[in-house]
Amino acid sequence: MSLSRLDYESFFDAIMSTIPSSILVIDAALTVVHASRNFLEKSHAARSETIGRRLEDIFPEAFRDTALAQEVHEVIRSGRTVLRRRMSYRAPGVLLRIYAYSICPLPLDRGRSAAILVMDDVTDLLRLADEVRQAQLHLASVVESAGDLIISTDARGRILTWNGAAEVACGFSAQEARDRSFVDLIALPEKSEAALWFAEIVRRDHRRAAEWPMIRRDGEAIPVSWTLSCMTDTSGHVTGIVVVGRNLVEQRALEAQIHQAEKLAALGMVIGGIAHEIRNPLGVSSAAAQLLKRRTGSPQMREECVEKVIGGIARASAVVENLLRFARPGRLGETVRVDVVETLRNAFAFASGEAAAATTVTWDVEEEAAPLYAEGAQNLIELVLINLIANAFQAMPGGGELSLAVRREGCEIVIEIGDTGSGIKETDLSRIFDPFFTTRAESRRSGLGLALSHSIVRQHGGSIGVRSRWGSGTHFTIRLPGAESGAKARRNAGLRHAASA
Amino acid sequence: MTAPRAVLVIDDDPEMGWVLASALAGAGWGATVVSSGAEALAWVLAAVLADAGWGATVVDGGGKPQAFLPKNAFPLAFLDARLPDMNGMELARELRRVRPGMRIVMISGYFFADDVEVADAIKESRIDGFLAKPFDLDAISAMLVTVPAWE
Ligand SMILES: Nc1ncnc2c1ncn2[C@@H]1O[C@H](COP(=O)(O)OP(=O)(O)OP(=O)(O)O)[C@@H](O)[C@H]1O
Ligand SMILES: [Mg+2]
Repeated sequence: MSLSRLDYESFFDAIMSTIPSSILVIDAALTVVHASRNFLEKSHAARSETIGRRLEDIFPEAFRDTALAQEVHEVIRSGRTVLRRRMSYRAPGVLLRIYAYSICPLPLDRGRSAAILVMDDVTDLLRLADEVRQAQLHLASVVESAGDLIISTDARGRILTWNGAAEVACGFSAQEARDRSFVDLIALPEKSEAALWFAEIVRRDHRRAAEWPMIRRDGEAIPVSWTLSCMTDTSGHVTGIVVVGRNLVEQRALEAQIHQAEKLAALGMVIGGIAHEIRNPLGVSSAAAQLLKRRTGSPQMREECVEKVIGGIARASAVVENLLRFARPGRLGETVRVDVVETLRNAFAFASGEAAAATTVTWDVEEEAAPLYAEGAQNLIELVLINLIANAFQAMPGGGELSLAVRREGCEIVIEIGDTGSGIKETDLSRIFDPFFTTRAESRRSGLGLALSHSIVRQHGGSIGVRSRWGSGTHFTIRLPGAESGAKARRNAGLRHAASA
Repeated sequence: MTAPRAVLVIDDDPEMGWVLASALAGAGWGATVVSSGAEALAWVLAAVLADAGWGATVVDGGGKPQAFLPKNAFPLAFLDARLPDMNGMELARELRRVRPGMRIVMISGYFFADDVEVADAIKESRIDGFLAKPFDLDAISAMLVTVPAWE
C-alpha cells in the first residue's frame, strides 16, 4: 500500500481515536473542523453538536477566560507550535481538573491553515507527583529535624547530604561538607580505623557501629557514636553509605556530673571517717586531761589518765599517718626478695584470730623448686595480705571456706585470696578501695584496710583486682612483680607517680 | 549507804568507756559500760523489769551474773553513734520503745552539734541531747542535772 493511495480521512480518524488524548482540529475562523472520540466522550457532546461550531461555544464557560482561543489564532497565523501548556478547569460540582495541551499548525489545501489542539487531563498525574514530592519533603524534614547526625556518602565515603544536627554539632554547613571525605572529619588516632571500615563495609558487613571523635570546624574533637550502613540498589550493589551519629557531648557532661557527685559523696564519707577516727581518740585524751585538771582521784587513777591522754593522741596521729601513707605513697626504700608463700603463711597466722570456728582453709601453692619471690618490702606486703585475709574472715562470721593460692605468671607473682562470705554489693564494688569506705559499724573498722592495701600494691608496681557476687563470696587477686622484674616495674610506677604529681 | 545512781554508757571503744566512767564517778554517779547494741538492750530490758518490781539480774555470755538492778536504774544512757551491731540512731529508737522514760544522750565524733540529722533526732525526741567528741566534762555533768530525782 502506497501512501498516496491512503485514505487520509480514515487514517486521521484512526489515529485520533487511538491516541488517548482529546484532539480538535480548528480552522482560522476558530471553527472546529474535527473532534476526536476522546474529546466527545469527555465533553459529553455529540459529533454534530461539535463540528462546525466555534471554539468558545463548545467549551464550558470556565474555559472562556483562558488564552486558548488567542493561542490557537496565534499558532495559525505564525505557523509556530505551542508545546505543553497547562490550563485548569473548574466546573460547578466538579473537582478542579488540570489539562496539559499543545497546539500545532496544520496547513490545509488552497493556502488555508488550521491548528491541531491536543489536550490531556493531567490532574491525576500531577496529584501523584505532588504526593511523591510531599513524601520526599516529609522524609527530608524528618532527617533534617532529627537529633542525630544523619549523613549520606557515596560508596567511597564522599559526603552527599548532611543534616541540621550534623551542621550544629560540627559547625560546617551542608554545602561546606558536601564532597568532602567523611573520614577526614574523624580525629587522628581513630581516623585510620574509620578509613579501613569504609573500605571494608562495602565489601563485607554492610553495617557497623563505632565511637570516633569528630573534628569540629573550630578544631575541637567531640565524642560521637556512629552507625554505618550501606545503601544498596535492587541488585545488591552498594550505592552509598548512611552514617548516623549520636553526639555524646551532653551525655559525657552528664556522666561527668554524676561522677563529680559521686566523688563529692566519697569525699563526704572520707571526711566523716576522718572525723570519727580522729575525734574518738581526741575525745579520750581530752576527757582524761580534764580529769587530771580536777586534781581528784587516786594517784593510780591519775597515772591512768596520763596514759589515756598519750594513748589517744597516738591513736589519732596513727590515723593521720595511715592517711598520709595512702595519699602520698612514697618510693619504696630498700627492697628485698620477699618469699611470698612464707609471707602469706605469716599473714594467715596473724589474721586467723578473726576466723569464725567453722572456717576451712585450702592452700594452692605451685610446687616449684625455687620459692616464689616478689621484690618489695616484706612488712608492707604482709600488711596487705593480713588486711585481705582479715576482710575475708570478717565476711564469713558463720564460717566458710578461705582459699589461698600463689603462682607465677610470666614475670609476675599472683596471689589469690577467696572466701565464701557475704560478697560485695555491686553498688559498693567501685567504692571498697575508697579510704573510710566500710560497711561495718564497729568503731575499730576504719575502712582504711583496702585503701592502704591498694596504695601499697601500686607502690610495688603491682595491681589488685576483685571479683564478687553478693551473697556468694569474694575473690581478690594481687599481682606483684617477681624479684627479677620488680625493680623495673617500680621505676615505671615511680615515673607514673612523678608524672601525675 | 545506797549504791550511787548509775548511767548506762554504750560505746565500743573501751578507752572512751573508761574516761566516761571516771568522769561520772567524779560527779558521784556509777556507770555500766557496754560495747554493743545487743548488750545495751539486755541491760535496759532488765531495768524495765526492775522498774516493774521484778528482780532482774543481767548475766554475761557465760551465764555469770553481772549485777542485780535496783528500781529506776539508768535514768540516763550515753550512746555512741556507731556500734558494731547497729547504728546509734537505730538503737536509740529501740531503747525509746522499750523504756520511754530513759533519757538518751548521743556522744559521737561522727556528727557536729548542729548536724541536721542530730537536730531532727532531737526535735522528734528520738534523743534528748547530743555531745560532740571531744566533749567538756562540765557538759557531761550538766546532762546529769537534767535527770529527774529518785521517786
Ligand atoms: N572479702 C570481703 N567480703 C565481703 N566484703 C568485703 C571483703 N573485703 C572487703 N569488703 C568490703 O569492703 C569494705 C572495705 O574494706 P576495708 O578493708 O577497706 O575496710 P574494713 O574492713 O571495713 O575496715 P578496716 O579494714 O579498716 O578494719 C568492707 O567494709 C566490706 O564491706
Ligand atoms: Mg578490712
